[in-house]
Amino acid sequence: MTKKLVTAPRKGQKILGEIKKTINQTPAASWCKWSNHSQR
Amino acid sequence: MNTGRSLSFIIKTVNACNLNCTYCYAPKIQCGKHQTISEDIQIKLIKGTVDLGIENVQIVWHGSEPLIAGIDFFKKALEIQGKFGQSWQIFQNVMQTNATLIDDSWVQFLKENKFGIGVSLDGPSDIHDANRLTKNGKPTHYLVQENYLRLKANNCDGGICAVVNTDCLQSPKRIVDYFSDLQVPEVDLLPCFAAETNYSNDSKSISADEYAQFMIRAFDRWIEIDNPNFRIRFFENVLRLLMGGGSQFCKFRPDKCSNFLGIDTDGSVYPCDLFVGYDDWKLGSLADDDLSTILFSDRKRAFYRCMENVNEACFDCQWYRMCWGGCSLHRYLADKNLQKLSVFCESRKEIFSHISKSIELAPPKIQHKTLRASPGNSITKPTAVYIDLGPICNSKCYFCAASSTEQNVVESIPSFNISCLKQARKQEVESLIISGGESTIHSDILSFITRAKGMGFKRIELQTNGKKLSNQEFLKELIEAGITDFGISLHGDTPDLQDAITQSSGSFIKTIKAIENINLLFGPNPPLAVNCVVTPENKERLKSIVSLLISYNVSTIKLSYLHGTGRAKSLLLDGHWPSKLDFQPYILDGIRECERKGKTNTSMTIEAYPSCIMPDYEMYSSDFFITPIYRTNPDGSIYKFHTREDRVKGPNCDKCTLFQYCLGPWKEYPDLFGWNEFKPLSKPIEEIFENMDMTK
Repeated sequence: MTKKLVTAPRKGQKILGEIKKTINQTPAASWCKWSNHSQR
Repeated sequence: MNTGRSLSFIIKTVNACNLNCTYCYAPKIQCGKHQTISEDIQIKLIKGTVDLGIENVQIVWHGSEPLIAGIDFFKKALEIQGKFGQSWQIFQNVMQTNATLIDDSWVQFLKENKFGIGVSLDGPSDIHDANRLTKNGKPTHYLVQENYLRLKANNCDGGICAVVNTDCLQSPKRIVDYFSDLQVPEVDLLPCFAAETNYSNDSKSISADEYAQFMIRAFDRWIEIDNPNFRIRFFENVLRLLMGGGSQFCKFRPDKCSNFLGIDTDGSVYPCDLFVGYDDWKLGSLADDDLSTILFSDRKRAFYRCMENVNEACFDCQWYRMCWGGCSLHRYLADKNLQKLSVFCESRKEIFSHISKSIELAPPKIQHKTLRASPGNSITKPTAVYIDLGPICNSKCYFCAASSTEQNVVESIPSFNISCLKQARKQEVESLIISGGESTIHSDILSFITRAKGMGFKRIELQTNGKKLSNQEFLKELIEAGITDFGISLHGDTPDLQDAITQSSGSFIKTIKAIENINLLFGPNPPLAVNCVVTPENKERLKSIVSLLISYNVSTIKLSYLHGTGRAKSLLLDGHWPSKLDFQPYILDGIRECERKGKTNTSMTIEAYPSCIMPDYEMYSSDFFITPIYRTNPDGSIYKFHTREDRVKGPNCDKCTLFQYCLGPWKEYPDLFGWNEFKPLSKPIEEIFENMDMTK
């Protein structure tokens, strides 16, 4: 009988997946991240 | 002038607060006796951003507690931005507040004016209220949480800054769960680190190691929750770096403090808000000087050099390309010396290592720009026109390929060049390269550039020895006229070496100052390439020259073999000039130094060096990226030219894997040195282009 090999899924799949969507965008440096609003 | 750069100003809006937090680092000044940053200082600041061509201006209204200044103060601040800012500028305003003074009128104002909001909230009530108290010792948690939720309900997007102090150390999971349950989109977990400030009450301060242990447990909980809509800044940026991306967080960026200035209430300017109060690093004051004077001041230059010169041990650390030497302040705190290792060095390593193992991703290696570029040889239509303004120069490099003649001022640029520009524009060419001799010594260089810009050239590169750009006002004029990119020549890493090669006293200091000026004006990723001709005098200094250029954020470093035209011809003919193979070990040293220290934006190429003389570093040959250009005739016409026409292939070159990409040596070279040093490569091309190990 062959034993099935089980690999634990990598942690944080959802977070990593979301980061992957924008990984090629070079983010601008920001003092705080929640400041992406332009006044004009 | 618009340099397209971004700069954040963290302003100590007022020097008083309505709370009495136990760990507060700010001087205790009573409300009513406090000082608010003046309108005059704000006007000078905004005018300064215009003068320096800063397109994206972020203003972080920090405190003590900025809301004490009142809504009318901020209405006036926005009015100043509107009145003195320019239409090409984008202003972002951010309010960092304890949120206790928020009411409906503040919510409406912040929402209407699209402020980013940062609220100080440490976690659940027992943890928050252990430290964040009113002047009368009353708790504030309920009020802060309620006001945060009120802002959030009104789409005033914001995040939370939480201070990790001694009261938090046993509760990382509970703190993370609290923010997760509150549905906070962004949280920053900042260490309460007494040594970080001049004023700190250290009773609630934690050690770097305690911070690491807290963050590791907090990460484990955060990654277990695995909610992409709940981000913790430190962790998210570490993950981005491990996945090969860039970081937004200044502490994890190679450009460090370049994007920031801290402004104290009285107008004093510091490299960042963390340095406010450290008089060692006060750069100047807007009360006395304009922003440009401060940016180009000796103190700012000194800080910039100290910031760039990270500890030598960092370059051999596996985490170098994540922490880039650490926060400047954290380095300064170690014995008041920015060249020391960060006080958080071991702590960072522990956190990085834990996260790396948890998500099974290794530390990032250098990503060389050349590896992502397309071979230029496949491009056939010229995209640039090359204007040669003649051999007149204000230096006298002994190997000059243009046979320059020394002269300090030249009258006007021959008019046929304008006809050539018109011809190039008819061919829809948008890129212009201005070279010489020394182009900046022409009396009408600025009007020539302005005219070229007016014709529609989008990219105008100035090739120069940089000496005249040591004057920042002239540099600004060049940019205002239309220069977008700089190609500077530097052949030594010391005054003795550079001045001897250029036969021009003081040239090293001037050229370095020019490079520094471009850095200070453009900030991170300056549009700056530097060419260094390899000579018997500088060959053993190539490693040091490369290191120096990396520390100046030069985006493209080019090492070139002598081109045997002009004065250089006799050097080759006299039979004493070293062969390409003779220079090989030194050039490889330079490449390895680039791979060891290179930043995200660093790129390096070796000119006129066929790949077969650079084993394992074949992709560094500039041949892969050279495209055809238009050159000019004195009758005002232009013709297509490719460097290939000045190169030659050898008898065995057709057996080489890279035959169609390599251009061979300069055509005069084999007559003097023969073909023995050129050996056909049999390595598969895929291996050269894609599988090169950049960490050797």
